Amino acid sequence: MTTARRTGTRLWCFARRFVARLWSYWNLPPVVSRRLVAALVAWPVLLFAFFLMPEVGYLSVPPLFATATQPPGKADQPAPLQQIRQLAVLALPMEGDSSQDPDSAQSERTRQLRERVGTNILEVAGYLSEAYFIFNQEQYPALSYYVLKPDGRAVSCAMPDVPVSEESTREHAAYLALAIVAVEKFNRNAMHRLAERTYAKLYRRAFGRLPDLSFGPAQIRLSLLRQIAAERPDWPEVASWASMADEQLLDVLWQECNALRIVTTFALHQIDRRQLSDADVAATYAGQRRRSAAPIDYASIVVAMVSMMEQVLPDKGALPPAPIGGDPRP
Amino acid sequence: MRIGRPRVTMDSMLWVSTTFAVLVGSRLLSLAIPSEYYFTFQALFSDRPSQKMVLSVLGKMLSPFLVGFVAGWLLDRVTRQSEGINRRATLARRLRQRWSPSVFLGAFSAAFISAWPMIVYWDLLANPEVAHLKALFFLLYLIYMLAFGYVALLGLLAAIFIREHMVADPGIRKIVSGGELSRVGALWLLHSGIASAVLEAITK
Repeated sequence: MTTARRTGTRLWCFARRFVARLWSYWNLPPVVSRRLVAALVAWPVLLFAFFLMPEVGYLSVPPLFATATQPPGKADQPAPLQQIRQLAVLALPMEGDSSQDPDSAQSERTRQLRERVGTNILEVAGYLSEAYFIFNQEQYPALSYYVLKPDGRAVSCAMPDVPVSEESTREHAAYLALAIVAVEKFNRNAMHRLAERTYAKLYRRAFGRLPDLSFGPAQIRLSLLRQIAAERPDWPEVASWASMADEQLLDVLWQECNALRIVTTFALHQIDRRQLSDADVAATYAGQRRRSAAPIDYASIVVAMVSMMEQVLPDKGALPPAPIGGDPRP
Repeated sequence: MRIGRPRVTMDSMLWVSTTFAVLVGSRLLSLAIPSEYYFTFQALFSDRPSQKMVLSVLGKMLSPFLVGFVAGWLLDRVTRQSEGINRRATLARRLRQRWSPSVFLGAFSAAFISAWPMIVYWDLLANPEVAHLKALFFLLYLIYMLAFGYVALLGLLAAIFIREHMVADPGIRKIVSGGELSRVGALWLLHSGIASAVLEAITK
């Protein structure tokens, strides 16, 4: 028997044994009964099918059973000759691509969700000294929003010594930096950051250089700092980064106050050079390539946080008391 | 002679079916009932407690009650139709040892699944005004989950109770007594009442 034939026979025997074992394995008594597996498949499919059913959105819907709260004796009054009653209308988006907002109530709910998330993140980061919830039902629909006052220490840390045309731009960039660092801190807690630094030290010992990872509370890459330093030789504070060793830069990034100042510098650089909006600066900072319209999205949350920090607190006496869980709907 | 407590076994099919049927029912009710009359766990954790708290909680509890009722009706019917030496004893044993814990745990699981995303994202999505009450809100959630279990159990027992009275046989002692039914109902009312009252008090 030739070697090729012998090898072929062995392979054929091996394949037959493999198929036989597979068949016996398949025919083992089931670990979980087939009926239960079928139920575990069928029920979720049915449940998800009901979640695909869109909710119908109507505008100008009067409260249900509103007649129950109307004053008695209305039926006895003579009906006016002219009556104007608002009807509920269906709010649907235009077919195809359209930037028009079909449901303003939905947009309002998204804004409130973003503000709530932003407030929680800033609060957890410790960047707030005061926070207010404003609920004004003097107008229709009722208005509700948050007013946040950033902590003075954090704001002073976030003020870099770089030349700007208007001082308000520097303050705006500082608020943007507070929002960005707060989100980064929320996503990478102290344990994560400590692990990153330990990994960087071990990597340095093993390979003689630091890895190009994001470090510190602001989660900045060393390469990004060097890139800005190269692009901004006219800003002395920024230009000094170029001459610093990696370890020194890492120490700078590890300090939260320094990290805030660096992020403000990054924002000012982007606004000055590329005329980017707040959302674009945030997206660029996080390396967000694809923007989404999701209610909880990095850039939109950052924009909401900046907006809340720039809100002015209205005169307290001019507003009715704001209830917890104030519902903006009528 | 029976020694020790009877062994409780779970009916996995009943557990899974109860869980998903409660979730499907809740979804359908949330589409049908206006939001101000519908209680949601999301509302409990965010800033939109329903305006009609009692009606909303009752609306929310309708799904587990109906699922428990349908399960009880079908199980009772199938067991009574089957051939056996002592059908009544079989029915009573299965009810105590298999169906009741399975339905209770199924409804509890449905409430847990509904609440889980908001529990995980509490730090991000909670209303900042009540964010510091995290532990209290989690406790309220647990009480609502128990209330879900009790109301499903109430539905199960109510179905068997009604079926037993439909085929009235005065010579045979009933499997589900009025006292037992009222005890489960009282436990449900106690749990949902405490949770709703505390929620109302802290969000005033």
